Parts: sequence; structure tokens; C-alpha cells
Amino acid sequence: MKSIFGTWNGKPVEGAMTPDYGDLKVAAVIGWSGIRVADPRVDIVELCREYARAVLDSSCGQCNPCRTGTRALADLFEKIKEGRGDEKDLEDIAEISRAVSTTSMCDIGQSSPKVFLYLLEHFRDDFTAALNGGRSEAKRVRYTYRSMITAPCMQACPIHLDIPKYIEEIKAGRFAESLQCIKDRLPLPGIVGRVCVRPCESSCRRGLVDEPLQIRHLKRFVADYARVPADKSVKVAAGLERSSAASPLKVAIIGAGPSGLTCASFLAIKGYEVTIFEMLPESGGMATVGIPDYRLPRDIVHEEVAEVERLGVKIVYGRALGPHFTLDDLEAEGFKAVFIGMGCHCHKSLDIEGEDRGYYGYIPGVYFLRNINLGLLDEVPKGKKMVVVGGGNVAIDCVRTAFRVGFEESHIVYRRSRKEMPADSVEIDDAEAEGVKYHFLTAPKRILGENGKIIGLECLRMELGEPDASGRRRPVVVPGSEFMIEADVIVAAIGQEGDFNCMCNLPGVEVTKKGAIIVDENLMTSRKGVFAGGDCVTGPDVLIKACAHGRLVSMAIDRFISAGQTETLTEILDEKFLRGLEVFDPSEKIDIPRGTGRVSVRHELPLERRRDFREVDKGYSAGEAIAEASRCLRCYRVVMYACIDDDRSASTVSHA
Amino acid sequence: MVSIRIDNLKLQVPDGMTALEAARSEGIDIPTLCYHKALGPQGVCRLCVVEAEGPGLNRTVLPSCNLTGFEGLKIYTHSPLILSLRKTIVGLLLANTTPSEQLIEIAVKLGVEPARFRSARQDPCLLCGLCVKVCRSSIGAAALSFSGGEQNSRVVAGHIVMNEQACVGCGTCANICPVQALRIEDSAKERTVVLYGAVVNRLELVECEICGLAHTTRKFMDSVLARLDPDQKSGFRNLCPECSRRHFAEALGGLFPPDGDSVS
Repeated sequence: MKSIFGTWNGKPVEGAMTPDYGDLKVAAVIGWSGIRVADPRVDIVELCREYARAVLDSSCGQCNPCRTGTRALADLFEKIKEGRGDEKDLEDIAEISRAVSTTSMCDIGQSSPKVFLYLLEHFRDDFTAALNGGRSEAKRVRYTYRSMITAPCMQACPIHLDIPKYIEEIKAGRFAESLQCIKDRLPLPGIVGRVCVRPCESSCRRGLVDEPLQIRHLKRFVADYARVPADKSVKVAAGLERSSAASPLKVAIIGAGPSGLTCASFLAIKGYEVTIFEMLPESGGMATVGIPDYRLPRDIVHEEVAEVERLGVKIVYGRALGPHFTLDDLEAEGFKAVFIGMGCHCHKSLDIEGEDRGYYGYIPGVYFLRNINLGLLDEVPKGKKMVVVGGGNVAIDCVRTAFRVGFEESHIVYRRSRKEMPADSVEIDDAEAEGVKYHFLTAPKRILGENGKIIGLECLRMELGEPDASGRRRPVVVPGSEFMIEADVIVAAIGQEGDFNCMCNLPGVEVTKKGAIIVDENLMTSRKGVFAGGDCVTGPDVLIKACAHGRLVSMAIDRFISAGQTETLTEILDEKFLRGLEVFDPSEKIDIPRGTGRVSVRHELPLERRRDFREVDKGYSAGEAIAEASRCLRCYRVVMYACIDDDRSASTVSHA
Repeated sequence: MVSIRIDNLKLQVPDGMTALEAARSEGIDIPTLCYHKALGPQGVCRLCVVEAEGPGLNRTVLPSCNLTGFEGLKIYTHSPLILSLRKTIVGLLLANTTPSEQLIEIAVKLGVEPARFRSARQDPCLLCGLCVKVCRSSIGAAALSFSGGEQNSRVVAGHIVMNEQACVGCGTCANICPVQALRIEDSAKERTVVLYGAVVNRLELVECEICGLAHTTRKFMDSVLARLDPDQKSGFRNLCPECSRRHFAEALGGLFPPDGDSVS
């Protein structure tokens, strides 16, 4: 439906669609930032009453204005809607809305009541009509209301963890409850708490004041806190419990990586009998073979996998879809659904002269890391000087690992400047502290070899030109600028994008030209009952996104098996809806004093740590975690939509 | 020291001092219900809001208990906006909780009518959290906490709950509660802790070794002893406050010259 009227984030909504919601006819959206109306018959007073109730239910009750004010607002709208109101009540609503939005502690109170002030001004007639006995019969349509709660960080998180909640629990010293809040959506908090690229922190409103919260380190803290032996009781309480109403329906999962483990965990909780088939002798997928131990110790992966196994999930190692069995085999064995989460373990070649000569000392980054992580040190080329080509996280992992396996010098060649590097800036700094040498604005031209062994990399100087499609400035060759960097080993780590040639042939499952598995909104492939997610669908992407896919698939599989349904999940519609609402406004000016910077994390000293695989970050102590958690602005936002009730049954309300 | 301005008063205040402390040190009255000097800012009653502005800060409404002074900060404690906001907050509190003496005093001062906003539901107390904080951070017992309402509820502060095993019966909560929602009642042998009118704990009292007054609970005495090192323990005596004062005054007596012997 088209918006006929609306305002959002202080700007009028002109002719824009109300967010799409599958088959539902969304008549109006009301939220922290305004209102969008698509159906002129919508009852503004009823909408206000329902929104006021939703806000009241969302108020945490800690500060007085929000607790008492939202209660008073809900009561007043109820009274007006029932035809018992008077002009004085409208004045009270305005007065309370102003007080709650200016004096509340967090964003529920600060953001929610603003819309009432706007509506009192622009829809005065509707309210006056309600005071005088209600609306005319002609306009009477039944609506269903549904409210949701979000926050900029929650919105940015691919798996939509309730971040303000688990931070609030840390602030209150309730670490087990905090961990439980994370585990409700994510079974791998220790892994994600170490290696997540943390999109949440880029959308943290505290960052608009001074610095974003260290959300990842807070997550790691509660995960680690439950590991301390003295707190075994916490671990049991926070552990995921398997549903007792177990149905013996079997589900197969291909790949014990982040998406497979997440999917398995939630399906097991729902009572399914889950078997994971893992090609490698180790579980964890890319988290294990793609990430060095100094960032993610193997114990953490093992413990979190063990927790998934405790739910009854069986992991079969050394068995790959394709070489060892087929989808038909799985079907014949009685698996009711299959989830393919096999990742993308391929690489992109440098496409330069000398790369295909078979010189000793050339290796793609993902293989370099995998061989080391699997203990296959004989397959790692030896030498004193390593040059890594690339600027992403894999390149940084390789170049830092070099010192740890005995290289004396470690260089990075990247064709743009530091600013454009896609790798995590913290990692870039950590690598530099350990002695990695950066060659920015440098591109590889030719691999130089002698007697079958690499002796160096011929490079070209670059300049930054006009911005390209990605918005980053395009590097341009400086003619005649060739020079050589001596090297014994050259690692290609320029990404894995667009190269799925390693993907096996799956009958009935459509793939793109490049080999990525094609899925529908529910992540089901063209073969019914076969789902796919993570890197084998998206191409190399971040770990938390794979977990998010695993979680969604667990819901889609449950519904597919138990009800045979394949319509888009409400969860996915909600996600699309919220995405259309600009939950985070990076240009917002927040008027609070600056200066309470983030609590930094202790780490091992660069020159001590660079020769072994001990974990670099030491994590927070309880006191540090509480101090950091106290910086949270709790930017919760409440939004609600009204949709037309087709069957004209009594108007129902559900608050998600 | 930083220079700040409160209303029209220019002040030099020590680093780290809050706007509320600075204003009160100058005799400027900012009402509060949840602030206690010993416990630092709670930031929940929001009665102490002021308008603040300064370098890098547009004029905005902030709670002064939580606002640390910085160079160039200007605050307005009684602007028309602030007075009207305070009145609304007090009106809401009057309608939503059993009014305490303190609240009524503030309401009278601000000229708020008692029945501003009527409400069907009432909170059992102000939910200021001073008792929770003092029990956790000063006493170390952590016997009091906020309930989280019903299942699936987003309520963090529903009402106060007591864990009677952890409670040592010291009575600090009753002492600090601004609305007497928590009380202690002593009989000859026993102390009862009363929360929202219901007895939530009963503890054995011990008697002063000099006068025999039942002055504190055994559990509190034990928790104090557990924190003392052996040296301190050896000099420990079970005395009521009055006997304790007298006992130590006598011990100090010899240190001063007797009456009449003036020091030149």
C-alpha cells in the first residue's frame, strides 16, 4: 500500500510505501520517529491507545517518568477511546508526553511519546470526535495491532541479539541471565564474542557521543564468566535445555561450521534428531580452520561444540556430501530435511605472471591458515620472509601467523591505502605492533622464482584515483614504478568472492553461474526440504551472518516438517519491515556530555605474544565489564503496525 | 578545578563534582528523592533535572545528580521549563505511589495539586533502588533486589524482593528508604524486617555486654567479625551504640588535661 500521509525521523514520508509485510495489508505504522498512514480509515485514537500500551509493556520501570508516565498515557488513551475523556485529558497527554520524552533515562521513554505530541497537533479532530462519543460507523474497520521492539545495535546485528538487554543484565551483575539472553538466539557466544566483526558497534549511538560500546568484549565476558569452574552452577543454569517433548524426526546438516552448529542446536532444542556430517576431522568450520588460535583458542570452539552435542546432536567426521553420500541417500535414510552449511573454502587467484609456475613458496591464504590450524605443518612452505597480498581479515590473519610459525619478516602488500583496508582496524593496529610491515599503494605484478623456488615479488606503485562502485578510491598504476620485495613465501589473500568452483554438484539444487546455492526467502533451495545458508549461499561473509542463517533455517525446517508450510517466516517479514525504518540515524546529534570513553581490554604485549599462539586479548574483569556496560544508552525503540482484519473478527492485539 | 555557572552564579568546583553537589553547596535547592550522598547517583527519580549547556553541548535537559562539572558548563536549575517538568514528574509520582512525607513536601513547595493524574495501578514504593544499592555495595549482603515482573516481561524494576538467607538484619535499608516501605521492628529477642507491610525476615538479636540492650542481630555481628583481621578481633566488644560511645570516650579521657588546667 502507498503511504498517503506520514512523517518519519522528522521528514515527511512522501508517496513512499508503508513497509511491505507479505500478504498483510498494513494500514499504519506508528513508532519512535513518527507515523505512516496508508489507510485513511485507520482509527488514530485506537492506534495511540495500542501504541501507548505497547510502550508501557516495554518500559523497564527503572526511572520514574517512563514508568509512571507511560502508565498514565496508556490510561488516558483508554479513557478517551472509551468515550469518557475530556479536553483536560488531551492537555494532560501533551504535558506527560513532553515530560517523559525530555526527562526519561533511556530511549524507550525519550523516543516513544514524541509521536503523541505530533498526532495531537495534526489529528486534533479525531481526538475531539472521540471525546464526543466516538467515530462514525462508516469509518469502522477492524484492525490487528502488532508491536515490536528494536534498537540500532539489534537492528545492525544479523542475528538480532537483544543487546541492550544483555548489557543491562551485566550492569546489574546478573551475568548468567545475560548469557541466557544471548543463548536464546545464539549458541556460540564464546566464538562470536571473540571474532565477530561487530556491525552492532558501528551502529551504536554511544559512538555519536564519544565511542561505541565494546559490545563484543561484553559478550565474551559473560561467555567466559560461565567457564570459570567456580561458577559451574551458572553454566548449568545458562545451558540450553533439550525439549522433553522430543519427536524422533531426523534432520541432516552438512558442515559443522557456525551455521550448521547454530541450526543443529535450535533443532535439537525443539526435539529433532540432528546429525551433522563434517568433511574435516575438526568441527567449527571456518571458525576453526580459518581463524588462528591467538584470536580464537581451540578450547573455546571445542567447549561450545560439546554443548551443542550435549543437546543430543550427533557429529559424524570425515564424511562429505558428494564424495561420500548424496542428497538422495539422506532422503532414503529417513532424513526429513537437510541443511547445507558447507561454507566457501576456496580462494581467488592473483592472476599475475609466475603464479602458475608451481614455485615452492606460493600458497593461497585460506590453505595456509587451514594447514596450520589442522596441524599439517609439512604442507606449509618454509622460509624467512613472507609477503601476503591482500587487505582483508584473512590477509591480516596470515601475516600475523607468519611470526608464530617461525618467519622472521612478514609483509603485507595492499593496493590501496590503510584507510581503505577492509580488515578490522583493531587487527591492523595489532599486526603493526607485532612488527608486520605494510606496503600500501602497492600492487603485485609478477612472482619471481629461481630453481623452482620463490625469490621475490615484483610490485608496482599505485595512486588513488576516482571512487569506484564500492565508494573506495580506485587505485591506478604509476607507470615505470616497478620494484622488488624479496620473499621466500608469497600468500595470496585477496578474497574468495565469486569463486565457488569447489562446490560439489547437487542434483535438484540450483546454483548461480559462479556456484553459489540459490535459495528463497526462507533459505530453501530449489529442492524441497533442502535448505542452505552461510557462505555457500552468500559467498565469503561474516560469521554472525552464518549463525543468523542457521537460526532462521532451524525455524523454517521446523515449520516445513511439522506443518508442511513454506511461506515466508514472520521473523523474516519482521526483519524486512524493521530494515525499512531507519532505526539508526548516523547524523543524529545526541545532547549528552562527551568523555566517558570505552574501557579498553587488556592484552598480551606484542613482542611477547608474536612467537606463539596464546590468545592476544585477555578479556574484561567483572568490574571492567560492569563499567563498560554502564555506558550503554539503552536505545530501545518501540514500533507498531496496524493491519486490516479481513475476517472482521474482533480486533486482536499481539505484542511480540 | 573547573569553572561552571549555576543560574547566574559563577563557581570554581573541584574536578569530578556533580552539578547537584555544586548547587547544593551554594544553597541552591534542587529536589531529589533517590539521591544519597554516600551512594552516588541513582538517576531514577529525575526530579533533579536541570537545563545544561556548554562547549560541545547544546542546551538540553539532564539529571544533575549524574552530571559531572566540566569547564564552561552552564546549568539552569529553576528555568520555567525545568519547573514545569518537575511539576509533571511529581504529579505522576503522587498518582502512582503512596505519597511519602518527602514527596508531599516537594509537591507543596512546587505547588502541585495532589490529584493531578489519577492512576488505577500503584507502585508499592518509589522503586528508587537505594535499598538494593546500599545492601549490595555498602553492606555486601546483596539480600535485596528488583523483581523482574512476570515471565517474558521487559520490566527490570517491578518491586523489591528479599532473599532472607542473605539478609543480615542490619537495618540499613530501613534507615535509607525514603518512603518507609522497608522497616525493622525489634522485640526483646527478635528483629523483624517488614517490606511492603509484610514480615520478610526474622532474626535473633544479641544483647550489649554492658547494659543488656538487644541492639543488633547475631548475623550482622557475625558478618562484621568475619571481615575483621585477628588484631581487630581481639579488641572487639559487643556493645550497643550508647555504651560503645561511652566506652571509647573513657578510653580517650586520659589523653586530655583535666578540667581547669587550661593550656596556655
